[in-house]
Parts: sequence; structure tokens; C-alpha cells
Amino acid sequence: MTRLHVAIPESIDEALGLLGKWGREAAVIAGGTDLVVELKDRLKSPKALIDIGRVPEISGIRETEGGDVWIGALSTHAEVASSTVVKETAPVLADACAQVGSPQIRNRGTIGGNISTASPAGDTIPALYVLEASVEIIGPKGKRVVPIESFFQGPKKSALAFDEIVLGVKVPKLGKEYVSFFRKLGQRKSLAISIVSVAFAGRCQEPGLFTDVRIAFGAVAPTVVRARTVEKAICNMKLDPKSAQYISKLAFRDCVPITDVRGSQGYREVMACNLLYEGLLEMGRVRKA
Amino acid sequence: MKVNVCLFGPMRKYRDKDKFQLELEEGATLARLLDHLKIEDRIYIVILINGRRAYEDEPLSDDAEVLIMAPTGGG
Amino acid sequence: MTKTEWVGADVIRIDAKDKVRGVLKYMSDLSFPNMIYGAVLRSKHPHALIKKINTKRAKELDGVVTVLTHEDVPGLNGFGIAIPDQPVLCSDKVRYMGDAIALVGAESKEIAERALELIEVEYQPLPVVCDPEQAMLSSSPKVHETGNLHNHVKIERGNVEAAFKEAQVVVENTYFTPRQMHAFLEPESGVAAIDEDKNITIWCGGQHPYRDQLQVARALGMNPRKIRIVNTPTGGAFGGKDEITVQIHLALLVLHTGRPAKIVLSREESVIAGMKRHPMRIHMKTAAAADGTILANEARVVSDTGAYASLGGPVIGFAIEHSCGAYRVENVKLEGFCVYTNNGVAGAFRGFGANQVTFAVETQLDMIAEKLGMDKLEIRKRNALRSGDIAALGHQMEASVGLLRTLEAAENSRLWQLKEEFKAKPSAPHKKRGIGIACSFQGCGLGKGLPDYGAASVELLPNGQFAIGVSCPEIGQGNTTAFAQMAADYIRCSVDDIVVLSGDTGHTLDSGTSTASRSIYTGGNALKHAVQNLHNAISPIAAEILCVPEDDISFGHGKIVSKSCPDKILSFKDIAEYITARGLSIKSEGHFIWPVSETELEGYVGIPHLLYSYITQIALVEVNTLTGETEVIEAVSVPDPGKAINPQGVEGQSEGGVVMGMGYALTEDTIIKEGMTLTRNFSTYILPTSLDMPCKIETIIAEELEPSGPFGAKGIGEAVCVPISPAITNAIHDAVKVWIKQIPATPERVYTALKSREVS
Ligand SMILES: Cc1cc2nc3c(=O)[nH]c(=O)nc-3n(C[C@H](O)[C@H](O)[C@H](O)COP(=O)(O)OP(=O)(O)OC[C@H]3O[C@@H](n4cnc5c(N)ncnc54)[C@H](O)[C@@H]3O)c2cc1C
Repeated sequence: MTRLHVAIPESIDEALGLLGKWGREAAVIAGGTDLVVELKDRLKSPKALIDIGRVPEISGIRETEGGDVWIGALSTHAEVASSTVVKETAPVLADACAQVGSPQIRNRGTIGGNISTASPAGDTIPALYVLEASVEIIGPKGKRVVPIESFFQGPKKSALAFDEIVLGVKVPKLGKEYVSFFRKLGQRKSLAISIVSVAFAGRCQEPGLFTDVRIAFGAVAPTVVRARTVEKAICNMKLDPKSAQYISKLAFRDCVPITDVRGSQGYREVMACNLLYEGLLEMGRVRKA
Repeated sequence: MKVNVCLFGPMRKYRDKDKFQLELEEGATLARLLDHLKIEDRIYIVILINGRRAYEDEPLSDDAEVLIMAPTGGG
Repeated sequence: MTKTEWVGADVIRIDAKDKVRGVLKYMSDLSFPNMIYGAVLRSKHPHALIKKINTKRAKELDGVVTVLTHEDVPGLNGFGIAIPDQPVLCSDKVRYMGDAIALVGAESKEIAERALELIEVEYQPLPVVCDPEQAMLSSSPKVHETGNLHNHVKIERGNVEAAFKEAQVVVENTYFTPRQMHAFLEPESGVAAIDEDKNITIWCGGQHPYRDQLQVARALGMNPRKIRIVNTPTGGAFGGKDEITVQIHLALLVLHTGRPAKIVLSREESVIAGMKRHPMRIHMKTAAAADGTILANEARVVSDTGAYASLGGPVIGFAIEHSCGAYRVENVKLEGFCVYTNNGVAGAFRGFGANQVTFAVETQLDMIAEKLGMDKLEIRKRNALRSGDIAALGHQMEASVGLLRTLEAAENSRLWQLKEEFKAKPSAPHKKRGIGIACSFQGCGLGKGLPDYGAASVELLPNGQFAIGVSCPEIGQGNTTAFAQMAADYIRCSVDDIVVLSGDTGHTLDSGTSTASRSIYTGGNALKHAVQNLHNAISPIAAEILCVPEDDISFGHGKIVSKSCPDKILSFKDIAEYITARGLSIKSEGHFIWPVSETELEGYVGIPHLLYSYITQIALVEVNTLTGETEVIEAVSVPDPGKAINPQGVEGQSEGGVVMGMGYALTEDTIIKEGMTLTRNFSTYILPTSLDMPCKIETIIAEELEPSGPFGAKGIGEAVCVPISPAITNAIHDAVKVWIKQIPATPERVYTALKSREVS
């Protein structure tokens, strides 16, 4: 029978050492909610599992000296969703984490795992896009920091090399004058993989007037995408429900969805627009008609 | 002895009538009756003697009501 | 009827404590020393000839105990409740992806699975038959040599053409229904053991131990008496374990190795190989007069049974019987086709063909009501079957008919009374609310043409308690608790003094299936006779002890009393001690055969029924017009189960049924393309979760007592999941004015319908 070695390093150096030793035969495991599914379906068959669950350097959520929020890779969705600093300074990420899977999945699944899996439907990713976060990575050659958008290269493809580990994400705080939301459309209310998801952040100093708008969509392209066309269109417009509906229709410009069991290409395109519109309406910051 | 036989569903193919009386020797078992009727599938078959499930090796008694059918299900 | 002490009370389920504490062992929890693990090699093609099977390399693998193929099946290499058209292990042809080709027994599950990969099978692929309509054409490749049409039902009464001409409104539509999955928590699984005399015992989830026994015996060419089947407890079934699942494979493993064996299907294997609800295409044309009276109904129903028949034949018959709803319709032209394809296998599933046609006919009725400007509840009342009426197939409603009672209770429900208020306040302006109503009836028992029988036993135990036995398995529905309640009231003892034996050919008499909403009615009636015999056996002994004549003995409240001398009292324990001391025992049996309809439909078996349960259900939904998402906010379920033996049990069935019918209406479908299952587990097969459930499900029990039933009971296990589906789709129409003709009404389907309405 095939044997699977499991190693539980106690420090980041030990973890890197093990990765160096096993090379491509190893798989890093955090919460295991993605990896175990892949093992079961035999999409991956590593010889060793490196369980990073006890590595202190990659856990915790704290404010950095530079005024950002640092979220350790091991932080679970439940921890991020209930973190006071995240709720106050990056609420869109707390919202996204609160909508992942189910309570069980949120208690096990980690933000590091969500990023490393690099699924175009990963729910924390659109939020991290609009927050313009960056990913801290460590490898044999030391640390590097990658802007979130450069991290993803395609479905399940990322800038992460096989011998590297994600340390955490650095999230610049959203100022008080920013509003934001995260919405996902799934086939049911929980345990649902997004058919389309959208994250929004924008500076709003008077009702309907947005500057610095950032919008990202999940599950509509090979990676999560920023919807720059619609971002530009919203900026400096006075949004009322009618113009919001009209402008939201530009969302599909940056989407190139596919058809799968969860939804057709056409439906996904329209849903990108409608989710954005619905979010804008429900945020309550659009001018009364 | 006389037994009263009733055939149901696909079992009707073994006789032109589905309700009839048969004369069998005293002490005959169900197997004897099935032989007599030339019933082929002797395993996948449900037989009730006087309303009670019975198997081939059970004896028949005079005036017994014997219902013979294929198992089925339904809603 | 004397007042009951236990029947009608919310007696706590006798299995509740063990289930809640996780103490109860289901079949897949059982293990034996020296046990081997079985794994099944499934087909790689949906339709192919098998040219060669080579098991040599698998047999050589360390830890493999046996590798079996069709050559190792000693008896008939086939199974199937109606006809044995499904091979135990395929020899020359595969007809779906779940077909079993070889069976491995090994020292561990992992070794067994590894061995499967070493079995070489040479196939010659055949064209895949995936569309049931095309399958019926003579040009289609044949799934079975006998042709692709497995069963054809055709029933005509009156003159539909004339009725269509004179009608005020005629609506005609085509409906499509999905391949719903039973999704029981415990996948198909079990263990088996064999003794020195080659007696085999199989512990396996199932719904009819005595029929499993015969199917296993047939495949093994063995005397059925040498096979014992234990089906209780089953971890959910819903019809999906009515057919053979792993029983014969388990028997083959123990027969060939002499060692105990275990098989547990993975969820993915269960999805691919297991039963589903028949997808149907229903074309229906319905006519009504200006006052809403239904004048005629014409239906053409094509049912996809997949690769094998199982109960596909009876299901299409049942669908036709229920295709006009629980209404009076004088002119009907109904035709059903049950067709073989390479799309998995379909068989029994809670509702048994009623779900599909009820969705169609209840939508038709709403369309008619709308055209006539009639109230949706009124039109149902107008057409509702009443006792003595002639139903669609021409048979008279001889038994209790409770539809009107359920409609009246539904009308008085809070949700219906305040419906305009409920609808007026959606949670956002772009969300719209609607309320829908639908009714149905559900034939109980196996129907005309095959005697439906049952039996029960009652034994006085040495401690004065009673052991009762009914073989209809406990599949989670709570029938064992109901049996205990009924027995306690018949015996006149405490429910706590009843021990229930269930679902075991070794310890219970054959009482038939736990299907067809039949086990309470059958088991209860059999228990009634058994207890009469028990009382008859106890009376002379009590008379002897008390020195009174036998006819002076009466039974009441756990006591045996002399009528003339009420201070002469015995307990059941006194009797038990008295007989035990004399080396005697008291065990009695009761037998029961179902009454059937007077009407016989020449050429058909299983239809019509005599007894029906009735139900009205209401749904309040909110539809998001931007996404097409539908949320069921509240539901009201008004079943007529006859007497509710355990009202809490009826509520449990009702709530579970509402959610199952909601999944059918909104999300659930096993998608098969070119014979390949695309939705292989619960990440793509979308079951409702607790968050998707309505915030409130109100169950109002509307009892219409059935004189032939135990305490007036009929059955309710199935009806509860049927009309809720069209109630939901009718509510969607009420909310956003689009008719849903294909379920599940996924967000994408609803949104697409909304858009096409805007365009037209
Ligand atoms: C039932 C269910 C529901 C789900 N629902 C959702 C949902 O709604 N939304 C959603 O976005 N996701 C969902 N997921 C996916 C999954 O839960 C998330 O992606 C989760 O965040 C993964 O985290 P993990 O810690 O479990 O990752 P793991 O499974 O441990 O790892 C995932 C991958 O990342 C790698 N990895 C993990 N941590 C690191 C690290 N620090 N450095 C380098 N590589 C690393 C692993 O090697 C592996 O390849 C669901 C999964 C399941 C099983």
C-alpha cells in the first residue's frame, strides 16, 4: 500500500526545510478543506503532507506599524469574519469570509488555503482585490511580497512556487469614508460555490457620488478580475437607482465566463451586472430617485 | 383433499382460470401443488396459505386457501 | 371505538434516544472478526458490449481474497423486483455507468479498491441512448433486446374531443421533471456472514426483507429459508432501497470465501449506480367550463427508467392513475410510456410517479383559474373528489376521502387568511412575493391485482411485557413507534411494556414492504388480529387463575379484570409468571389482506387503489427579479393521514416532505449527459440546507378516519412531499407572472423566464 508521510513542523524554518526535502512530492496542508477533496478525487497524490497548522509565524491577525492589517495565512474564515479590526477596517473581507461554505468549513478553512488554491470562485479573493491587498510569501530565497492581482495566473495557477509558503496577506485599511459590500450568488444559501461573486469598495462623501471605485468579480474569468470599465463609469457620477442599473450593465465588459453545471455563460454575464446593481441599491448610498 | 387456488398477476399464465379448486392426495405439500401447476420459477414466488406466508416444504390441509403470486412492490 | 391511551398521543420515538446519542448501530457500522471488504467494478461506458474480462492481475494482488465475475453467480444472474433484467455481474453487455462487472473481496477497503484498477475489461462501445422519446423510435439502438419500450399504459374514458370543443378554456403545455435523488444519509451498504451449514445472514438497509430474501435466493439458486435478511435499522431509504442494492453482492462474497463481508458504497458510487426518481416529459391538455369544472384531461407521459426496469412499470401506471389530480374528471385520455435508456436507473421514490404528474396538473389548474378569474382554492374545492365520486380511471372512491377537509383547513390557515398582508411586504423592492396552493392524493398499498398482505406477531414475555413483530423495516419514518402505540392500545397495556421487533426475516413474519404509504395500515391491522388472538389465549388462563368463567374476563389499563367481580384483578405479569412456571408460552399471530377496489382495469396490475391519503399544501415565496432566486419563506401542509397514530410523527413527515418537495421544485437534479453523471456528489447535486428551509412550516392534520384502518389510520409517508412542489411553482407565478413548466426552477431558469416575459 502507498504510504503517506505526515509532518507537523513547529516553525516556518522547519516547514521550509521539509518542503525542500520532499520537493514536489509534498503538499502543504492547512485546514485541508480543499486538499482533502483533491486527495480523495486523486487529483493530487503527494507522498508527504506538511501540516502547517502549528507554525506560529503564520497565525494571528494584527495591525502593522505601517497602518495595515496583517492576516496570517492560518486564520480561519470564522476568525477573519469575527475579527474586530477586520470588521472595522476591511468589512468587505469579513463579509466574504462569513459567506464561505458552512460553519464547519469556516472553522477549518483558512484564508491562506483559499488564496493558495487559486480558484476563480474563491470567495475571499474579490474582497482582497478591492482592498488592494498583497500576499506575503516565504521560500528558500527568503520573503517576497506580491500584489494580490499578480498572484493569480489562471484557474488553480498562482505565483506560488512549490517550495514556497504563504505567510499572510497585508490589507491596507479602508478609510472611514469608504463603503463596501460583498455578494455571492450560489445555487443555495450555504455550502454553495459561487456562480458569480462581486466585491465593491468606493469612497463616498455624499450620497450617490463615488470616487476611487474598485470592483472585482469572481467565477466569471480564469481568475478573479477587476472590472475597470464599470469602475471608471461609476466614478464621479451621481448615482441614482436608474443610472446605477444602467451603469451596472457595463460589468460584463471585464468578464469572460464559461458554462458549467452551475450556470451558463450568458447567465453569469448578466448576473455580474445584476449583482453589482443589487449591491449598489442595497448599500443604501445611492441617491433617492 | 381439496384446496382452493388463486393465481395473481403473471402467475395467471399457468391456468386458464385464476380461481379454481384442486384435488390433491392427503398430506401433500405446497411443492406438490406447484409441480401440479407446472410453475417454473419456484424461488421468486409468494404463496399465502390461509393468509399466511408459506414456503414450498409446508404441508397443505383440506379446504386451504392458497394464493400464488409474484412478489412486487408499488406505491 | 373506545378511547385510546397511546394512539393519537405524541409518544416519544422508541429509537430517539439511541439515535440522538449516536449509540444505535446502522448496518454500515457493523463489523465481524475476519471480515473482508467488498468493492464493485463499475462500467466505464454507458452502453457497450463486453468482449473480455481478465481478473488475473487483481487476483494476484496481495491481500485480495476473491475476485468474482458473472461466472461465479450460481443461480440466475439477474435481479429486479418486477423482472430480473439487471445482471448481478454483467457478462456480455453494460447498459449504464453503474453496471457491476466484477466484485472484489479483500483484507481492506483500500486493497479492494486497488484491485479494481487491475481488472482488465475490453469493451466495444455502442451508441448511447439518452433521449427517451428517440429511444421509442424503431431506428434507435436497443438497450435491451426486447426493445426500449418497457411498459405502456393507455386509459380512455368519455370523449375528450367533444369536451375540448364545448369548454370555456383549454390549456395545453409540456412539462419536464428532474431526476431527483433519494440522498439518504447512509449510502447503500451492509454486512453478511455465513455459518457451517451455509446459512447466510445479510444485514443491509432495505425496505422489504422477505423480497430481498427471494431475490438473493434466486441469484444464488438457494432455498430462501437459508437466507436471513435484517433491514432494521435503515439509515434512510425513500424508495431508493426498495430494489436490491448490495445484498446479492454480499451473499456472493460470503458464499465464495466463507468469511464475513462488508460493502459500503461511496457517495459518488451511490449517485452513479443507485436509483433515482423517473424524469418525465408530460404533455397535458386540460379543459374546463366557465364555472371552473374540469371537463377533460388528456396526458401523454414519457418516463425515463434508465437501463433497467425495477419498478418503472408500476411507476408509470401510478403516474397515470394520479395524472388528473384528486379531482372529478369525466373525460380522460391518458397514455404513459416507460422507456429504457442508458441514463442511470430509476425506480421507486417517495410519491411513486405522483410527484411528476401532480406538478403538471396543478399548474394546469392554476392556469385555468387565472383565465377564468377564479380563486385558486375555490377551483380546487369545486373539483375535489368526494366520497362516492367516480375518479379519473372510472373507479369509485369507496374509502375515506379527505381532500375537502384539507382544503378547508388550508383556507382557514393564517398564511391563506392573511395572504395579501404576507405578499405586501417583500424584503426589497426588486423582490416579489407570491402564494401558491396545490393538492394531491396518494394511493396507499400496492393497488389492484396483486394481494397486498401483512402479518404481525405478539408474544407475552416472562416479565409481563410484550414483544411485537412486524417485518416492515424502520427506515427512519417512525413506524416502529406507531406499531408500539397501536399494540399498547389493542393489548391495553403501557407503551413502555412493548418491545418492537422489525425488519428481520429471522424474527418477524412477512408484513410486506415499508413503501407505498402502507406499513402503518398493514402492520396495524395485522397487530389488531394478533392481539385478538393473544387475548383469546390469555382469557382461559386468567379465568382459570381467577376461578371465573372465560367470558367474564376483560382487558383494561394493564390489567385483566373479572367483569362480575371487579376486585378480581391480574396483571400481565401474573399471567406471564403463571405460564412460565408451567413451561408454557403465549405467542400469537395476526394476518391481514388489504381490501381492493371493485374496479379492474383489464391488462393492468397495481392500479387503481382503494385507499388514498389526501393533502393540500401552501407556499409563500419571494422571488429576486434580479437573479431569479426563489426563497420559500413559509409553508402550510395539511395532510389527511386518516387517524394520526403519532401526531408528532406526522408533523415530522410533513416537514421533511415539504423540504424534499422544495428541493425537487427548486434545486435538485442528477444531470446525466451522454450517459455520464455530471453531478456526482453533494457539491453539485443541490440539496436544500437548513438555511434554505422555510422559516416556518405549519402542519395542520386534517383527519378523515378510514373505517378499514387501524384506529382509522391510512398512511402519510409519501403525500407530504408531493403538492408542495407545484405550490411553490404556482407561488412563483403569483409573484412574478411566469409559469414554470420545467423543474427544478433554478435561479437561471426563473431569470430566463422573467426575461422572455419582458420581451414578449
Ligand atoms: C464543503 C465545502 C464548501 C466550501 N465552500 C467554499 C466557499 O463557499 N467559498 C470558498 O471560497 N471556498 C469554499 N470551499 C473551499 C475551501 O474551504 C476554501 O478554499 C478554504 O479557504 C481552503 O482553506 P484550507 O485551509 O482548508 O486549505 P487546504 O485544503 O489546507 O489547502 C488548500 C491548498 O492550498 C495550499 N496551502 C494551504 N495553505 C497554504 C500556505 N499557507 N502556503 C502555501 N500553500 C498553502 C495547500 O497545499 C493546498 O494546495 C469549500 C470547501 C468545501 C469542502
